[in-house]
Amino acid sequence: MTVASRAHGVAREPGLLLVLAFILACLFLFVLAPTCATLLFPAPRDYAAVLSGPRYLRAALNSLFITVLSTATATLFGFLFAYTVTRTNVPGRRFFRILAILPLFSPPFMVAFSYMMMFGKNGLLTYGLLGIRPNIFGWHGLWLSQTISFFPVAAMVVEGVLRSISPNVENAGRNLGATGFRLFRTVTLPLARPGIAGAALLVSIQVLADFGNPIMIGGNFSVLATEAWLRVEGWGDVKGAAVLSSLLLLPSLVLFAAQRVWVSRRTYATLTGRAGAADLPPTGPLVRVLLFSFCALTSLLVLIVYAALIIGAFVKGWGFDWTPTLRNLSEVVSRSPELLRSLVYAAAAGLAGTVIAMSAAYIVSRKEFVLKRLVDVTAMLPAALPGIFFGIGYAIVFTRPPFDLYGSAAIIVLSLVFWNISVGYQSGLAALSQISPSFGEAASNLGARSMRIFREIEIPLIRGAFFSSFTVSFIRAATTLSVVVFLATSSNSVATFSIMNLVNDGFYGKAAALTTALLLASFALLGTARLAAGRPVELFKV
Amino acid sequence: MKRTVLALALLLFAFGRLFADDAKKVIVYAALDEKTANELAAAFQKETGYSAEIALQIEQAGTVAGRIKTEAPNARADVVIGGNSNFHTDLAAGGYLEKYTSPVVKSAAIDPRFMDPDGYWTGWYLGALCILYNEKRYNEEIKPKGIQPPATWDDLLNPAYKGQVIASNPATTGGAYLMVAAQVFRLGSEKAGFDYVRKLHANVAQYTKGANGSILLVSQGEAIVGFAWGHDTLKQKAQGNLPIVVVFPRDTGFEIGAASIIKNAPHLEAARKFIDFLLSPAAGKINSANGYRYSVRKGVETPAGVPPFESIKLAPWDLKAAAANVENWKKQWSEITGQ
Repeated sequence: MTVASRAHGVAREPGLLLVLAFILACLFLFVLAPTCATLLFPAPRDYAAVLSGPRYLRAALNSLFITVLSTATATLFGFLFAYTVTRTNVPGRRFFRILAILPLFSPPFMVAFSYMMMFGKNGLLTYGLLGIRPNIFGWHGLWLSQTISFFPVAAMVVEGVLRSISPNVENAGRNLGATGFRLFRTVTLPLARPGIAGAALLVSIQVLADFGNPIMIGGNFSVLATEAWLRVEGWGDVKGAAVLSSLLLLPSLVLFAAQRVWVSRRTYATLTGRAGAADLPPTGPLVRVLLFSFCALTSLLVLIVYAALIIGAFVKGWGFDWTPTLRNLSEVVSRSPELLRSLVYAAAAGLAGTVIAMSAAYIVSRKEFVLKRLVDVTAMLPAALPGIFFGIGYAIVFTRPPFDLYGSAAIIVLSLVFWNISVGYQSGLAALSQISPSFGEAASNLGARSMRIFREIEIPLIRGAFFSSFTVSFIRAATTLSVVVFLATSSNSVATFSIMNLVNDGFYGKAAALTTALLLASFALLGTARLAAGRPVELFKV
Repeated sequence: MKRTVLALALLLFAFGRLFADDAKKVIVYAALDEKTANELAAAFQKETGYSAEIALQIEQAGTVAGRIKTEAPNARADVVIGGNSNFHTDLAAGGYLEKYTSPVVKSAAIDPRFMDPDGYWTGWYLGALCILYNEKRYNEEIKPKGIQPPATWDDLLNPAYKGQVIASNPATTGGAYLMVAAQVFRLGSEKAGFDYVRKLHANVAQYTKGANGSILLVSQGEAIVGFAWGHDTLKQKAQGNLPIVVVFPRDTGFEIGAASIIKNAPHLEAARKFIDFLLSPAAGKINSANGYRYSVRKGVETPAGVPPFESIKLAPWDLKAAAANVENWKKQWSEITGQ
């Protein structure tokens, strides 16, 4: 724990103390309070009643099973993409990078829905092209769609870490005689460990909490997150939903603890203040071909989702009547208030969430204080909470005095800020663990105070993490449904809520059109944000 | 002194506003499609001069009920409209509803069996279960075997449909529970009803989590035949030109669509007026034209292609038994299907 031993206390710095107090207050009010409210909503006998059913035991086992599978593949896919993009000279890297971000932009149920259109019993590719009728519904279909849905999360985290590994380290290994796979195994891979662990953690808790994919493509294979959602949707049973989704907390906390232990055993700082990056030597031909084919194939699976979505927006009957039409576009016009709200709320949530998350990450990784563990756990907690769990908590705490935010923009924005806080916090921690505290110490020796060190030294260094965190938080906020479903009213409803209603009402073409519009608008807003931030419009350079 | 007067004046003003504006308003949570909800609100305003705000519109009645439960200590809405009566019975049992029996039931001679025996909810529309099948896949794969199109519940047991039937899961949705109950009532005993479930299970490709899951899957050709709510199926077929055929089998199940006043409703008087309004022919017509649902009133016209309610042969229904056996029948169903 070299970082900890060298860290400074906060007590002597009033500015920092203020920030810490603010973060603590926020986490207490907006994470812990709603979490406890949801946990306490059911009575103990409700817990006993729900948990005695065999159905939920099976759902719990299914959840664990699919989490192991999907996390393994999504993390592997993410790592291979990130490695290809940052560490090789495989052709088409820029393209792969864009593709590796795209699935982040799909609102719940879109990936699974598109795969049914393409690979179902009547799918365009399966029946239309090959004349076969495979059954996509079940754990295998779910595995595919979760891998594609979540590998971008892994790719982003791993890429951030790989990028900060100085090529000098690898060159040093090379000079010592390690080449090819040996170099990869003994130098690159160990250095990427915090990235991989962080990625696997983020992916696994998202898979655990995922309900969009299993509800569309899981078929008879049910998991806890869908069971929780359906308790409410199908039976109006909020207590049962709270019980079931609280079951997800346990494995998530275990995963979280495991990840913290695994990563903290050693330090990974390779950015140590001595600049200089040498070029990487070219990759071997066999590795190049393998990586290229892998990335190309995965990209194809990603593109199919979007192709299906856009086709769906412009045809009369998605799946059976392919006559082109523009009539679905009228839906986009009539839903423009919801679209606008989605963007504004998501941007506000992304920005506020990232600032709070980064500040928390900085304080936790660089300072010593009494409640450090609490901040750490609380900031990671929302990642483990299914959206519906979080939404129920907000509906309980913030629709009555003293914090009555019913029907306001604030209730949606706050719920999105704190539901996504873990993303920014995790990527902040990962980035900061790459930066040796010696920077800050040098500045400190020169008389700089914490805030100044943070502003002038750490901030520029974690800029990449800041932007990637904003991007992911923004996208997650713009595309989430399960959080807002308990909070939206006619005055603060967002686009995903409308999409859900369109799907429920059987307007799949309109839903596809509105989703397409939401995605395009999100792209445009992210592009503008990057321009405004004075960075070149490299949407996907995160 | 001055300050006290000012404070009092402000308080009075605030109170005045509260009563002046607010008394002539009703806040509605709607478990209906958007168009029906909005048109009902507009028509109510025109007819009574009271304004109606659709604060929440989600088709899933369970989600709407969930909202009411979480917000309960500080009720935000006055009435909840839509969703089958079981959701309202559940809300009433939890103490979330205010009793009300509309005088219109008597004055318009509406069948009292569509009303809550305990006096909480008001039944204002009806829906029946239908069978639907994919026309193309039926013609290509089933018809050549000389099998007539599915028209009765027992037709779904034909081995030709092995792996081609979409059913729904009562453990995950109340609507699907009514479908299981329909089999029990239709066949006259629990034993016979679950015998049917067992036989059907051999043909089922998938139990969807929602009651209407088969509409999408059968339209997309994922399976050949399924069952769902007739009004939702006919409506989606009409609006999306779906390649399916809809039939109402004899002895089919049905639901009573209900409306209730929420406990501690901020606008109680307006809420009662709104419930009365839902029983009017005007409201019945809006609901029928947009949602294809049958009004509990006789003589409300239905859209083209929707068979009149009188032509549908319902299974003998026992509301009390349906409500009393929820856990029991869900459990039996699970044991048979392994779901």
